[in-house]
Amino acid sequence: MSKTLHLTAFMRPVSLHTGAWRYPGAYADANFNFGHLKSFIQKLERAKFDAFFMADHLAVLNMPVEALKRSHTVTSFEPFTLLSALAAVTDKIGLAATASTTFDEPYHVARRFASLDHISGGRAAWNIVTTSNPDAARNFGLSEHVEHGERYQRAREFFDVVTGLWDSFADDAIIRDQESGIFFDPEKLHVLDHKGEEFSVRGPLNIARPVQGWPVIVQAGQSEPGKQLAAETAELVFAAPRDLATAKALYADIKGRMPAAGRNPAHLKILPAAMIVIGDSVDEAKAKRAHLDSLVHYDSAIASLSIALGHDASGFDPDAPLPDNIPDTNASKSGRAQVLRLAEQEKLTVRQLAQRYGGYAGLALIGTPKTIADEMETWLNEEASDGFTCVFPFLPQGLDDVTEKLVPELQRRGLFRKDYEGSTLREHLGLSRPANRFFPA
Amino acid sequence: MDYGRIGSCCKIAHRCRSLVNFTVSPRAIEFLDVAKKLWASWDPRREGEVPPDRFWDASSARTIDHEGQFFHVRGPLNVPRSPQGHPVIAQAGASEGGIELAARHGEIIYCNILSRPAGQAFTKKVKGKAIEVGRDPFAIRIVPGLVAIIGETREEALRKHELFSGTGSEDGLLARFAKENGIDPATFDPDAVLEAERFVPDQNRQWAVGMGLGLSDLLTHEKLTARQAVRRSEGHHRLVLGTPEEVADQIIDLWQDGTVDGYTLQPPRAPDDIEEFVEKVVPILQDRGVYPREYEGRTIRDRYPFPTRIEQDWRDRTDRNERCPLQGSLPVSI
Ligand SMILES: Cc1cc2nc3c(=O)[nH]c(=O)nc-3n(C[C@H](O)[C@H](O)[C@H](O)COP(=O)(O)O)c2cc1C
Repeated sequence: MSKTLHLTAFMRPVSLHTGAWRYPGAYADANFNFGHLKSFIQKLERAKFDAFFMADHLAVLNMPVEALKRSHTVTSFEPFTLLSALAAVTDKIGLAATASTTFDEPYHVARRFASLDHISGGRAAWNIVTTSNPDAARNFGLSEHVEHGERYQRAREFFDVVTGLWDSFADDAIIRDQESGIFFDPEKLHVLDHKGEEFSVRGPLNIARPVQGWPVIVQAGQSEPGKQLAAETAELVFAAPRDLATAKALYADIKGRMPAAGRNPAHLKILPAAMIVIGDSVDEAKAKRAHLDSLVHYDSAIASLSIALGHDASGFDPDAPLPDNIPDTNASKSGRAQVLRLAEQEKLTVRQLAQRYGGYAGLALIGTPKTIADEMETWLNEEASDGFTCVFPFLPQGLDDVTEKLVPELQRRGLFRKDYEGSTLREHLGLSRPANRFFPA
Repeated sequence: MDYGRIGSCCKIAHRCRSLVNFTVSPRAIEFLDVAKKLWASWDPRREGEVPPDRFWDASSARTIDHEGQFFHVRGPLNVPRSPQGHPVIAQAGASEGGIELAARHGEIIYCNILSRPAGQAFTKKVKGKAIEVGRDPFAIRIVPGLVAIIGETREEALRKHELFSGTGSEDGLLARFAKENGIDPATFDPDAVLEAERFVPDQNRQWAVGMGLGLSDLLTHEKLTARQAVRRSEGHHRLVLGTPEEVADQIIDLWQDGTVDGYTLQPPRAPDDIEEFVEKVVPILQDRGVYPREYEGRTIRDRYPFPTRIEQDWRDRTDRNERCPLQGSLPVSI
């Protein structure tokens, strides 16, 4: 069978674009309105999306308050509470949530995902993050953030403990024999008794083995240890490449590490995050994006541009092109080069450039359903990705455009499923169910 | 998200550490202090004043900068204030530490109350302590567990009790009682009056102290034989047995003089006993005007009309008319 795409939806916040909530017709309160979120997930399920993804942060976002006060990203639901509710109004679509290995406990995390997996009939996925926002530390009794390397070391052990806890009960441990009065077979219960560098966890988990064996393991780290952790543990990677070339390099890098970790590269799907803006013509799509960017307030926009340039841009003429000879600083060579390239390519003024950086500076696919489907097909065939994590520019319209215009085009080309074939997220992703490490079949 | 139907149950975890309850309590109390500060870290009065190009007013959320004995938390929460202000705080645990926590933070108090005098003593203790720490005692609702076993006749209910308990007969119930309380079967006289002191649990033990207290409190206030005592509780909670009318009478009995504010139903078997209670007992309670026919209000807080201002003089509002109708909490089993 030829390769097909996997699609997930990035839903916390519902749009990563900071101007999204001001777009004409957008639901300004979409992040925090259960009715809206319910309708979004049901539309995504009708379009046969693989999963709905709730990112998570353990503090209000660490941007300057002048920018934060204009951001709809400031408040969203706690992922498990929301996904448990959404599990009840959907049947097939996967439910992915972020949980932090730096600020949470393996036993708590194992329980929450095991519960969600049972409640949803095998649709849960755990996005392992080490939490980069330094403000989170201050909500958990620490005055300083835990150092990057140490966070990843802890994450690796955290993963071992959580998966070990999920394997506490054999798949056939719970017998519920009403005649004999025996509910489960104690021979089929494993006490983990983990004693490691970071954690001491006795176990067993007090929840039966998840429907999927283990909920699907997701990773989004981009650093060396992040990519290594992904190669060793992840089944799904949310990536953030800039373009086709960097995506191909990242894809080869992560998959290339897998054999050494004893894993088959086919058992990992890499889905870059991409904002998708659809128009009836490419020009119309570009105009929508330009309008969306224009809704980003200049004060917060210019701050973001200054960070990207490594140089204070607030004195520049907003309506002129970027001045020549911006001093080069050591700290931001690559960032600066990227800004200059973008300014040059799209002939943007300082204001437009700033609004791009203050709005959403990541990968974007902008065009008609046909041109975007062409691009997705190229990415798939050139081993740049196994699909995409869709970021919507504004909602509901930006989401409707994807589910009603782009998905049918992909289906027509045989690039995306017309119906779900299985009922668990593992089945949607073509991943096998992990064997129980203590009770091999 | 669920528009404020949530209650938050804080029980001191039974930790496998060398901690006794009274040393766990300060952490639990501070934990709730922090949670309440976080829930209050957004100022709802400022909502609606936000200019159209701003998503929120930054000054409406503030850091809490809590620096305590157990916790250091900066805040604010990244979730704004909920429809109820904060979830209703439910608390269970009747050890000294548990009562302290109930008095400081509890709103709905789960407990095991087996008789009127025991209930009045418990209520006085919790509400008295609440007054000491400056809280309005009307903001605290005592909702003990209740096991209802319903029959066509009282005899049928007795047989059901024996069946559901797994003991099979009255003798079986008595044998279980002797075993649970470490009484030598050879010297056990089921018709001798029991001595309360014999049943006082050790305050410092790590397992739930409050559960054992129910029986010793009952025996302190009433002279009972083992044969009578086994029909007064099931799973440490008050047992009410009989026809639907008799069960309703017993439910209303402890409520009408304010000994309890409501109950936490603990049906022996789900779903059958839940359905039976709903179909046979609830209509009687409704006919007698002590239980609502419709949900009043949207949030769980609306159903327990707690006072919102602590300064209000609670004494004026404890007269009969102001008391809230009987509350049927969701069935929970602990
Ligand atoms: C699509 C995507 C989703 C992410 N979701 C989260 C998240 O929910 N919570 C979080 O703290 N970090 C999240 N991250 C950040 C990553 O976990 C990671 O910290 C970041 O990419 C930097 O990589 P590093 O940790 O390897 O340095 C996400 C990243 C990407 C690309």
